[in-house]
Amino acid sequence: MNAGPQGGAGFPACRRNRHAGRPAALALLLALFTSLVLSVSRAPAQAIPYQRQVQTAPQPDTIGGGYKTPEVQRARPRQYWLQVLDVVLLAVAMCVTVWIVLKRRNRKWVVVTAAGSLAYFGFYREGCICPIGSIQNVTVALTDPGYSIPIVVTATFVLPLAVALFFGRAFCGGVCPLGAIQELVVLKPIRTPRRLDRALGLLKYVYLGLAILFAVKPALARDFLICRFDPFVGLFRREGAPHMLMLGGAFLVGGMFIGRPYCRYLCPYGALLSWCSRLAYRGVTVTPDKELDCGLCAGACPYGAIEEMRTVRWDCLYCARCYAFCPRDGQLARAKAPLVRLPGATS
Amino acid sequence: MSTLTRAAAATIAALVAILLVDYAVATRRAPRDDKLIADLQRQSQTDAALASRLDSEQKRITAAHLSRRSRDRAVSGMLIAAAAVFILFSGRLVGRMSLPAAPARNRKPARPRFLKPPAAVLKSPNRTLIRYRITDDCIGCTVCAQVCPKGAIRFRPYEKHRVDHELCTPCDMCRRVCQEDAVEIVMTAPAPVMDSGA
Repeated sequence: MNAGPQGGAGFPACRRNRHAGRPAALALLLALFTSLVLSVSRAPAQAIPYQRQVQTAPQPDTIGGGYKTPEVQRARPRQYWLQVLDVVLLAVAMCVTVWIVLKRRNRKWVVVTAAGSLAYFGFYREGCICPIGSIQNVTVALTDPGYSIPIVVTATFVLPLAVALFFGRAFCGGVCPLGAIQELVVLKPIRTPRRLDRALGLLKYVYLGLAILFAVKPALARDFLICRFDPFVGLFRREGAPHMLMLGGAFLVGGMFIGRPYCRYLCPYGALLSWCSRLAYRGVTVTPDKELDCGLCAGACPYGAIEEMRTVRWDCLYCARCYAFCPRDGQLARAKAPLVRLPGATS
Repeated sequence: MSTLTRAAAATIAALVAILLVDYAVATRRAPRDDKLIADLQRQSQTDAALASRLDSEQKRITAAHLSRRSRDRAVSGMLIAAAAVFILFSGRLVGRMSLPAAPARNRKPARPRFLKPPAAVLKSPNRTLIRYRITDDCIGCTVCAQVCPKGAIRFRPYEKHRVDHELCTPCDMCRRVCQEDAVEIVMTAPAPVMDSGA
């Protein structure tokens, strides 16, 4: 199979070497993973004593009638093999997405995978554990010696980045429940102006910075912004603060017309993924062997990820719409037909 | 839009309205209930007869709270189901129902109205000696429509294109760009005999 865009003559910007920094970045990621694992094994989890808040909790004399304050109850942790199953499912779903998008070039099955992920990671697991939020856990584990994270969290954080390093943002397209719920509501996307798109895209770096800033604070002042202001987790759990539920609803209504607003403009993990996917050696290519230059794929992409008839790899969210909207879809799917001769060019 | 899609959309709207109304009613009632309980608690410390009323009011509020919670969960479950039906049957998710716009680089001018030849000339089959016709090999890629300088081919993605002979000035652009070889030349008149000069 042809990996990169082949007809680069007309688009010299595509010809630069994308592969140069990949081994270094891979080594960096590996080092990150190893150091995370080491930090986990070095410091055992430190139990923070639970203290009942006197002002809000009911006291024995507030109710009367022989009322006793119940023992503090905590939810039992999820069984370990189930946590491992989550990570395995994450990895499998990403592999399946990569295979469907890059090999089968089929939109239908990407949507099925995304819907399955939405059902499992979203509605069943209720949006936790997610790589987006794991940014904060990893940050805290790296900065606070008294805080350690289990290896499943580390793996949840690192796996999508590793996949992005090789194949682009497959996590966004087929696995992320936040992405999937927005992907499913894109009904009538309008094309946002390129400049506005770029400007709003900077917001996610601000958000990432703020999230890290609040996560590295000392234990009692610490706040997990990404989880607190996650607009969709309330929808997954079907309960929560009313203003957050309404914000989630507003994101979905807006997402009917602006494709995946959270992913493109706010998602802090998307910022990390787009950095990694700049180095990807294989990604979504609009026209691998033959192209018409008709631009229907660019018109169909709701995320503005096709520029100059080429995929912008760090913006591409693996939705595979460009294949579905290609007038040569059937041929592309089989990729067997010979290159069509341009009539005027020969002779 | 099919009937099922429309019904699903109406259901979604109704369920969202139910949730919003439920929320509004609950937020209106909450401060009143809080005040009632606080009053009863204060009074029952002096008047023991009010203790049973306090108990029943607390039970009522708790029951209302729990029933609202379970009701909202049920409604939101139905909402998810209705949304799934709407998304599945609106056909916009997987297929090509929402057509892409024409690429911005190739916006065509409006159909020209000036310099139109007289109707008699246009009707004549011999207005031009050749005509361009698009065959069934057309895959609807709109490339010819994008390059046509006269806008004689309408931008209709995924449909078999058609040349408007009234606008066509046989310039051969569409035939040159078509990668499917779907544009053919049709002779409309016998080839003229060239006179070598009088």
